[in-house]
Amino acid sequence: MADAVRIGIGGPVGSGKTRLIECLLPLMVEAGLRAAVITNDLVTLEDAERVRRSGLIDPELVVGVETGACPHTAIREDPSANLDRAERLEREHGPLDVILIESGGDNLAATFTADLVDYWMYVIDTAAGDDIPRKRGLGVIQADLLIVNKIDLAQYVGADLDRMRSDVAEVRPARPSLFTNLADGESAAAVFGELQHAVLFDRREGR
Amino acid sequence: MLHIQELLGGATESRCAGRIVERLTVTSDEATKRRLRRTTDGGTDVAVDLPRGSFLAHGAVLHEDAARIIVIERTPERALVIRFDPAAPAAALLRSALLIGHAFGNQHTPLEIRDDAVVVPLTTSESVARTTVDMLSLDTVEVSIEEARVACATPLTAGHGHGSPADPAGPHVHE
Repeated sequence: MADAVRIGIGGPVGSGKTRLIECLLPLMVEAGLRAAVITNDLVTLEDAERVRRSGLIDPELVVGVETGACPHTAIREDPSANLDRAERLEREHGPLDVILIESGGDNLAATFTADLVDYWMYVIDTAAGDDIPRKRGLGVIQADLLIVNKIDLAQYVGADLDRMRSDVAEVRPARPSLFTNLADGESAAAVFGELQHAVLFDRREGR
Repeated sequence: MLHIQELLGGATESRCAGRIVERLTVTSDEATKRRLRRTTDGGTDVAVDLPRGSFLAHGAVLHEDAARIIVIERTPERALVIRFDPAAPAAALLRSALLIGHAFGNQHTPLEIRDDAVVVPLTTSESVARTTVDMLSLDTVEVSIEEARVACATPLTAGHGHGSPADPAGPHVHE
């Protein structure tokens, strides 16, 4: 693969974007894929530090972007800071198979430009409100993969998971979605399986 | 899995005549993707794996063999169509065009600019999209909601066009 496949992760604050990265990294290592991570935060490098300290990845392969403004501007209107980091990672640490680009937590309308990523996921939190899918946010509708996370919390907050499933099917008739509890291993494997199929094309070491 | 690493021109070229056509449908927002895994209407599993900056135009040929070709087809999308009245004075048309461009530009809404119309694929409800134009109180345009194929030849005009193949200044190069 000449260029690293760039995969975006968007979604509101606290929905599980960084957690998803922590779940995917071991699976990528296992598949023989060399991954790097770019995280976007408003005014700190909190998420980058968290991933660096995770022990799941060479800390040099994790870089942070401080967007200083609405996070969506750095993944859509002007992705130059993220493009610069991605190109630098490939130049200084390549060859890489995958670069995961995590957006800062943002609103439901946030989307990634195709100039920056080849594929993007949007993560929402079941416990943040079971009406989120039917609000038809552009992120929810246009993402290549929607991840409805923390379904284990539905019972504690009175979220109607069946209603969420039917709303998701209605607003995303042709695009895949997964309902996950990233605290278990099965959900992460399901997400990685979808990435392998849809954008990595079942890539494994030596192929 | 059929692995596509280059585009082979347009389906209207004569060498394609008489072959079975399989279609791979993509929406306007997917047309700028360089990697895509899809099944054609003929059941072929296709992995599109193109260089960065590629564009999946309506009618682009992904694959050809002795019997068939596989062609990109743009999905018709629900869109707000703003048609300009050709009989209106030039100054009034110019003013309308500027106001419409300003209004949708403020929303960072991807849209298509045609010779006599602006086509905005709906990302909101029909009423919200209509309101954006109605608020301008223009008597030089006619607004309708239609099923339209957009971004057939070039990507939609987006907020900034950073590095976009449609950017007349050419792709932005990062040193």
